[in-house]
Parts: sequence; structure tokens; C-alpha cells
Amino acid sequence: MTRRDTSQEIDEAAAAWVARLDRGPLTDDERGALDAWLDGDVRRQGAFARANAVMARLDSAYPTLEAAYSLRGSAMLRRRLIGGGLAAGFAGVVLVGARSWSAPLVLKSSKGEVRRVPLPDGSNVTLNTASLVKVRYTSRSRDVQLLSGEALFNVAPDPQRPFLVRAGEVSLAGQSGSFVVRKDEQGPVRVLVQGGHVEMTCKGAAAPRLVAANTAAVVPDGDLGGREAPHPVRLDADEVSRRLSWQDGLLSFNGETLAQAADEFARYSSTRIIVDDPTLAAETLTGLYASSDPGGFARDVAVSLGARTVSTADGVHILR
Amino acid sequence: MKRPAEDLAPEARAYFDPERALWLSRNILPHEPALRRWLLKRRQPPADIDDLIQESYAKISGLKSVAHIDHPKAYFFQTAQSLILRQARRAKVIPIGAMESLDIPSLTDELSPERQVAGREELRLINEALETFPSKRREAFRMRKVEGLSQKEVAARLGLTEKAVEKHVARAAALLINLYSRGGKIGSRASIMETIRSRFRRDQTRH
Repeated sequence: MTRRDTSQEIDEAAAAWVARLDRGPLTDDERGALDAWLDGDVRRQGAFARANAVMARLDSAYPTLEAAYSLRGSAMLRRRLIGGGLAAGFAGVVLVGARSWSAPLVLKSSKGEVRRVPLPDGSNVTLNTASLVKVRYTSRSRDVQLLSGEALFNVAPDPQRPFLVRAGEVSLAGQSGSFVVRKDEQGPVRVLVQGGHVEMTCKGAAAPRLVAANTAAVVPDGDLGGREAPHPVRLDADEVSRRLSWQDGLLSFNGETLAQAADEFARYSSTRIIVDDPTLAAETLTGLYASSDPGGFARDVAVSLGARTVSTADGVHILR
Repeated sequence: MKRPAEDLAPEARAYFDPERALWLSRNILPHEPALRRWLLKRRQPPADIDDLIQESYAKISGLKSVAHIDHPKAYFFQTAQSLILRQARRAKVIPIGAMESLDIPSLTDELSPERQVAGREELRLINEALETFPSKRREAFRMRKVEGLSQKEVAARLGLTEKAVEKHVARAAALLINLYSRGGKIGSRASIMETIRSRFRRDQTRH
């Protein structure tokens, strides 16, 4: 009679299997070995399910985990994150669809969530708040669709398989590098290339356009009707990192009006910032704020503009 | 006895399903320390408790659907209870405590939706656990889980083989499974950290 495994041994074997699955798809032989292992003892199925659950829990803890790590790295971040309530708005992300062995992957984040998800080829995608992305890899291409929201793609080089991102009527093709695409419910599609370059094709545009590193393009919604695709605008490195600060749960303003800032906060939180006074709404501001803390932002701004805040059921009002 | 997953194709087995893993991580995993304590109070031997818990996970993860489970904590406890009763019937020796009425404490789950997702205290514990790793393992795990690099990329950056990175992830997963299953945010902190320290010492002597 074979010796019965201890539950501890089973947990360790389950951990080894989830680590193997975390590396990439199983070969047929490995798949057979995993099935055989699972079939050998009902406790192994339970341990394996729990091991997967622990990994899933870590994944949903990840944005806050990242913030916790950042605390050690950057004094600026430390002040901001503590001031803004350490990534308090982050919640778990819903990861639908198989991660390891079936092709289509649906990635979704709700309001206030920021999350980085590794893709099977070594690329990764970071979803900003309220975003929906579909990923489908084939042997010929890596197809990604940004259905709504905003996402940063870090593309691992693969000369055989271009990385294609579609957002509304815009498609972007790159071989490697990193770029951000934003598509709101209405309005333009925004593209920002941080590294490498992408070829941008817009519906109805005369020709595709190359968008290089440290440039951004804003493509109006709909068919361009034979017009030229918009020219990318050059940005300095500080401006690029400012526009990417949402990755750290921060919103950075540099001359935006209070009305624009309030709209930006509305993407991240259901606590609305309401500014009825048009002169107040037109005030410009500069600063770095935690996207999860609209109340703290409103109070800070009110102090610096000589205004006050009133919280009601609708949200936080800033008034003189 | 027919296993729940037997009639499903291997691909369709629920314990391979990432959505199920996420559901378990939010609805079942946080209750495991409470179930352990409950089973101890019902005078189940600790070795049996480990088996019972793993079998309960097997039952729940093998379900075709979890949509009908309104109270996951109660379901988890009841699953363990039914396994005890089944064993008792088989053994024809009824262990003391096994037949006591099903006095599951608070049949409704006290975990609010906000509490189901990782909280700050939980992250603090994870971070503490990470601090006990040898530095290479901590770095490999951080790059994989925090930076979101693939194991392949981590291997390239740290100058390790992919197999070595996989092993680091496996050791980290084993440590964290232990952290969650015997403590996590519900259990007492001393016992979690004791567990982590003793496992860490064993790791050190092994390598």
C-alpha cells in the first residue's frame, strides 16, 4: 500500500503546480501529470483549488501591494499615498476567462481600480479605472481590443507577431515598446507613446501615421472622411510621466481648471466634486493627489482658493 | 462515490477555472481560519482538520456552479460537517462531538463586499511574510507579482534559469497558502507569524 501524503505535502505539491502554471501553458505531458496527480486523491483537488484561490487573492491585492512597495521607494509617493489614504479606493479586479490555456482573455476593472496583468508572451497591460480590454493571441498576431477606459501596454518584442490594439475607429500596431490608449464613452481616442513607436490607422484617414516615443495624438471620434490623421504632439519626459501618474493611484494637475479636475476625479470615484460657481470652476490648479480621495482633494483645493466644502448626498460641493 | 468533476471534460473542471478561483478567494478562503477554530472546538484531531478542509475545498471547487450559494461561510461549514458525518457513518464509531447539532455560528457572512477584497491589514501581513524570504526569492516574487513581469522576464533580469524562478514562485506560494489557510486577516497574528518563522527556518536548513 502506498503511503498517504500528509496535507502539508499536498499543499506544497499544489504550490509547485500553481507556480508551474504561472510560468506558462502546460505541455500535454505536464497536463497529463497534473490530471493524474489530481485524480490520485480528492484532497489534492481541494489543495489545488485553494492554491489557485490564494494566487487570485494576491492578484486582486496587487495594486495595493504595489503601492505598499512604492512606499519604500519614493518619499514623494510616501507623502502622497499616506496623505491620500493608501490606495484606499483600490478593490479587486474581475478577471474573467482562462488565464493559462485558453486564448481569449477579458480584463475588467471597476471604478477606482488600477491593475497590471501579465500576458502570456511577457507583455503586460495596466488597466486604469473602469476599463474593459479583450485579449486574443494567435500564432500570427496579438490582438487587443480596448472597449472602454484606458490602458497602458508594455509590449514584449516578437517580430513574428505584431501587437495590435483597436480602440473605436483607431488601430495601433507595434512590435515592442509601451503606449497608452484611452477611449471614453464619447469623445476622441487618445494615444500616448512612452517608448518605441506605433503605427496608427484611423478610419477614413488618408494614410497611417507613425506615433513615436514621447508623443501623443488625439483622434476625433468617427470617420475622418479622407482627412489626414492628426499629427502627434511632442511631450517632454516630465509631461509623459505626469500623464502616467494614474498608475500609482495619483492624479497630477498642471494648469487644469477645477472643472476639468472634478471631471477627472469623477472617473475614479462615485463621490462627485461639484463646483457651481463658474469663476471658481475656471480656477487653475497644480498638484499631485490620490485619485481615491476626492474629499481630500476638495478640502485642499478649497483651502488654497479661499473657498469651503459642503458634503451632501450628491457629493462634495466647493463654494465660496 | 462519484467525484463531482468526473463527468466534466478536464478543461471544464471548475478547479481550473480562474473565475472560480477568484470566487473562492473572496468567499471561502477568508473563512478558513474560522472553520479551523470551529472544528477544533468540536474536538476534531488537527491532522483530520487539514484533511477535512482540503476535502471541503475539493467539494466546493468541483461544483458546476456556485451561483446558488448565498451564504458561502455557512456552505463551507456545512460541507465540512457533512464530511465528518460521512466518516462517522463509515467508521461506525461516532467521534465525540461529531453528532452535536449543527451550531454554525452566524449563518450569514460577516464579510462585507469591501472586506472580501484585500484590505490594508492583509497587505501588511503579506508584506511581513515577504520580508522573511531570502532576498533573491523576495525579488523574484516581487518582480512577478508586483511588477507583473512574466517568469521568463524575471529569469532574464535576475540571471536565473526559468526553472529557478518557478521554484521561487512555488516556495512563495506555499508560504502564502500557509499564511492564508492558518491565519490571514482573521486569525491571530502571533500564530501566523510563528508559522511563517518556523517554515522559514526549515527552508533555511533545507537549502
